[in-house]
Amino acid sequence: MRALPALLLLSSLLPAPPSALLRADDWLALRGRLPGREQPETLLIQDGRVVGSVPGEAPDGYQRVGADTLRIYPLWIDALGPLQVEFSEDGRFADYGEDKRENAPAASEPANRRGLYPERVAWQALTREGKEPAEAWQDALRRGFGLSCVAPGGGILAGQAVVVALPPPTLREAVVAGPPAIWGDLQWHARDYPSTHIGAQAQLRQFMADLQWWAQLPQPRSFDPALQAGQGLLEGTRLWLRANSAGQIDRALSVAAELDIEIGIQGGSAAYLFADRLARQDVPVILRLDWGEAPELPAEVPAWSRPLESWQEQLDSWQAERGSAAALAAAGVPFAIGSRGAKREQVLPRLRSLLESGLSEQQLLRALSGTPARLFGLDFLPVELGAPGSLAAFTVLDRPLAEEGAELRLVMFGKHWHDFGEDR
Amino acid sequence: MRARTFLLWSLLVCASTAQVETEASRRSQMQQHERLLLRGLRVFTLEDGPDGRPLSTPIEADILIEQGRILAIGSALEVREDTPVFDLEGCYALPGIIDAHSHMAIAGGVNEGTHSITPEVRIADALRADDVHLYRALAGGVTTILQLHGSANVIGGQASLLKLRYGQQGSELVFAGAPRAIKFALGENVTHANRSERGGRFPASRPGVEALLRRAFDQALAYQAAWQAHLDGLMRGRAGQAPRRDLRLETLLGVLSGEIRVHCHCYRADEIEMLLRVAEDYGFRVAVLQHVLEGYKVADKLAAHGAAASTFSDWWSYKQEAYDAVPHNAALMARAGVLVSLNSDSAEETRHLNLEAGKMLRYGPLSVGEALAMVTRNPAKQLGVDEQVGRLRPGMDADIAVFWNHPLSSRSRCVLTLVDGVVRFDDRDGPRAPQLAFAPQAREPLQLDPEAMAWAFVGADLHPVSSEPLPAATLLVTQGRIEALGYDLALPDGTQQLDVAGCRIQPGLISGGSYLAVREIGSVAGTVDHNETGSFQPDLEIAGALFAPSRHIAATRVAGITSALVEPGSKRFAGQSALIRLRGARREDLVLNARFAEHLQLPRFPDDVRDERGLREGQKQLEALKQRFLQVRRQQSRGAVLDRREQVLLECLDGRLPVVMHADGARQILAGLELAAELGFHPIISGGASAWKVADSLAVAGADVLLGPIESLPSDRWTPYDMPFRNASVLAAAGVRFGFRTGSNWDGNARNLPYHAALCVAYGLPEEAALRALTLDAAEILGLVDKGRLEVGLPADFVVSSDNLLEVSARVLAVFVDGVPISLHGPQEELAREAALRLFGEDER
Repeated sequence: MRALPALLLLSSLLPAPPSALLRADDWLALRGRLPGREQPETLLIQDGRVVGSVPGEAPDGYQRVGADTLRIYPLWIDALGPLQVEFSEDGRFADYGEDKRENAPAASEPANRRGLYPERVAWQALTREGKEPAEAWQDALRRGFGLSCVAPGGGILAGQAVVVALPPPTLREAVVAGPPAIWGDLQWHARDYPSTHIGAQAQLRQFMADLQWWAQLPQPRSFDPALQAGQGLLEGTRLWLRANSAGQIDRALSVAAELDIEIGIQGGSAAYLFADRLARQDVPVILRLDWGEAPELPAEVPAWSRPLESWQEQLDSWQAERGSAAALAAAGVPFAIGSRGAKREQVLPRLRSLLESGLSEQQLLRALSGTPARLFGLDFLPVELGAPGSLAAFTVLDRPLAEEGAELRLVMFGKHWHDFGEDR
Repeated sequence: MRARTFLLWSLLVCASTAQVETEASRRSQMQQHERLLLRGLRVFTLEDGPDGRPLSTPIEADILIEQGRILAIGSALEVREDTPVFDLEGCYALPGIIDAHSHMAIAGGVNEGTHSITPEVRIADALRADDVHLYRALAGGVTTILQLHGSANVIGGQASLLKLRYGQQGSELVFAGAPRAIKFALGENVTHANRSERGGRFPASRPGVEALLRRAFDQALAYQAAWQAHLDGLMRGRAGQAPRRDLRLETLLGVLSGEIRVHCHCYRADEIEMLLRVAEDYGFRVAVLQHVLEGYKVADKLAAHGAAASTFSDWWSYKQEAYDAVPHNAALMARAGVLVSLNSDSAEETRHLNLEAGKMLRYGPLSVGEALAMVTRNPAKQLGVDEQVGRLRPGMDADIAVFWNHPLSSRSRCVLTLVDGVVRFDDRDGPRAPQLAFAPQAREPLQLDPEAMAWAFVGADLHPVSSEPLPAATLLVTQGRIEALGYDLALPDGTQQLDVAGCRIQPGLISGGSYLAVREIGSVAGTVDHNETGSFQPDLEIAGALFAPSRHIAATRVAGITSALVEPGSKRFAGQSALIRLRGARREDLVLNARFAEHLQLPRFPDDVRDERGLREGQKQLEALKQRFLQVRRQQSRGAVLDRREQVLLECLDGRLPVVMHADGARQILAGLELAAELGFHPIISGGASAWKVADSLAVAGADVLLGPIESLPSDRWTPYDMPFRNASVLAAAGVRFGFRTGSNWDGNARNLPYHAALCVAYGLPEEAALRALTLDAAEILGLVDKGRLEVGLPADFVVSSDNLLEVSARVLAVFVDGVPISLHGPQEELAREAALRLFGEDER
């Protein structure tokens, strides 16, 4: 409370930062309704932690935010956020040991790690410098997620993700976790080997064999950061594989079974077709919100045109894919939500559409908070919302999520919070 | 008479055919029953007969299926009341067809072509189970396919054997328990002989291919030795460091140990022998030679090695190494003791592999059972799954294809396909030809006496086309013309009487579009003359480049095709086509009409009604095309001097030179009609794949259509699987006149023109209409006034065949081309004869 006037004063003197970041260094009272509660209440927050709640107004000494009509939800976690880190191919390791015009070696090249970069960490390429990154962070912040997973792309094994807090005071402070997981894509391919999906999978298979071999090598052994970082795959580190279509999901599940590795699915449009198998194999899913608009049926079609039924078929397929969340929930498959690829203004409407497609609010909230927290090992987040002593981690809307027109009001993560009422 | 028939067809076609195919409609056919009785079938079991060959006569029987397997085959089988029964009276059942060479349903690249050696990649890793081609294959009776890696590398990837359980996920399609297989390749593809990057990587020659194989196996053996040393050390208590596992070399060791079967893409006899030598040197057996188009030259060596062969029925000439291919290849190899299968290597051809087998009755001779075995039992053996599939017997998988007519008849079609007892394709109510007897005759070509004054073909069924058929009549030819046809003819002295009782005589067939004599070997640019650079070449005359010694002419006419339209390529203003007769030593001997028509490639239009931009672009291009013509008219009216190209356009505008408009899309065809109406052309459409959508417009415009190739895939996934085959019926019902063409993709097989038409018959086109389209209608469209019919006084231009020429099994016994009997012994027959002489010591001629 004491720091606040100074901050406000500063903000009136200085040009407004791109994000109206406020710091709740001291005491804050957040008023609104928690899920499942009949009445609004006031959460009392000191130093970024909940110290208690009262049914009425906050005692003196607290900065008051919120209102009876607000809905306080557990902090949403963007399991595949819009901040993108795309690593380029590492061309240092030739896949031919000799001039390819002289010979075609039958042995695979031990140094060929093309597309296999588990040692890379998204942190290495994360930046807020420059106009575009700054805008990207702003965009990420305004989606309603207080934590966002920044996953790398650019390889069969693209690297490791980090979870960043939104809004971030500094880049270093922003990173709250480096989840022990590797992100990958069996559809990745290069100009040279591997240039196909079959090549990519063979490359991964050889890598798994190399991991085992390398682990047994006596010291000193050659330094191989990829094999070092990849060891986790042998010990249960999850590999999040990009897989949207039925074929891709089927392939990912088959790879997991064959190589005996833990995987997750990122994408999952066609996951509704695999709900039972995903449950059986205990494979979690990150469903993305980046679907296109529903195909529009033309009013009539001339004789030369594609038949009307073709659009209807596409629409049916589109609608079926929208049912993936409900199908996974029904089958007991843990799933989270990723907003990558969706536009900011699409996020809330699309979350609502998941409710319309059969998901309960409780299931959706679990997908937005509890499940990703567990999947990424974010054990600093509270198990029970508003419990005394727990971290203040909330996403607050101006009305229930299910209601048309609900908008983001506030995101709070510990001492950091952002009131969107101010700069929406 | 004709109008009434059209009306009847129209009713038939409309009553029983779908115009749209969706995933829902495909899946609605799929049914799974614990038990199912297929009743009233004629069953080809493909079991051995008393002579040790597969049975050629079907047994009248029911088939009872339980839990995915055949429980019983027998007459009047008793079943529980609640057992579903499919009444299939008169239909033919055979084991589900097995295509031993396919590239369907593979995601993300068929060929890891970045290395010359990639045995570690596995096709099964990237299955695309929703590939609609799988459904279309089911609709041809196919139940199992071998998915092979591409042929860009000497040692390619591992193959995948699939059961076509369409509707399930990729991993559920894999044929459980099938032996592992790998693709090798030799020849032009692996040496990049036909690619610009040739020389960029080893090997670039056939000797290089052999060296690569040997070096690779040496490395694999060295790897094995290193592991053995390590294991020996462990046995002796010496804990050493294990060598790195190399999955590429381990796969090669699997080849050497025989655990992984080698399927090798190959063509020429020398490279085939090389591979067998290498294999024998390294102690493994080549399981199956794929393509193996010159296998007939070394069939004895294949047999001695124990290599099987999986080949095409009649593809040839698309590459230099395919130039010596002969359609007798499969039969010659089989006679030499090689286990032979026929494959498609094509999502289109896999849909009628039964007809590819049927061709063996013609080029063999093989028995019905032997021919059917080439697409069922033999590939099952080659793939190591013959205890599960490939025959029909209790205990085997209920993979069954049911055909409406005899499966080797061109007029047959698949109506029902089961995989593991599950109905995966069901079109029992679809359009089809009448059920007909199938009795192919093993007649030998007639020996025409060249000294005879006249030839009388006695006792044949004459099909004049322009008049009613004359059963068991006589055709008399004197001085190159039809002297008489009918009964009790007076034969002049010196007439050679030829007994052709039970045979047919019909006019010579006319191709409405081919690249005959202007495209000898597809991959050899120096032999390809139908394409020019640029897009405005209306004055090019294809007739100037006709290559009379072309092997294609001989190969095509022995199938009964006596005249053909030779097209220029596919540019906007492509040039002028020529009409040729299929005989002659010199260019001018071939020419019937050196300048038949100017050929235009019409602009493409999107098929999406909402794609306004694409439609505007198409319209813009159409307008530009039209303006080319109109500008010439304006220049002429101003008295301006026209250059050669413009003069051709003026000829078109004045009606002195017909215009053929190439168009397959429906909107594209309508654009052609619009253009013709505005410029005053008589509309002739070539291609016409989507003509069925706009048949009424074509009829109203009085347009002619040169339809084909019929052996084409539907243009999109909503076009019914059989629409390419039903297209002609729809046109016929609408009263549109059409001929058939094989077109650009089939330059090596212009001879298959009658089978393109036959597929239309199998799917509802009346047989008389098909014959008329192949003869009289084509002649009328092309302005060949004395062809396409048998009439007194016309030049003798006809075909004597053992059976209906639409049947792939029909043998051509004699051909007259424009008054001259031609030899049925062409270069391909000579190659086959020489091989037979070497292999069996007998003259096949």
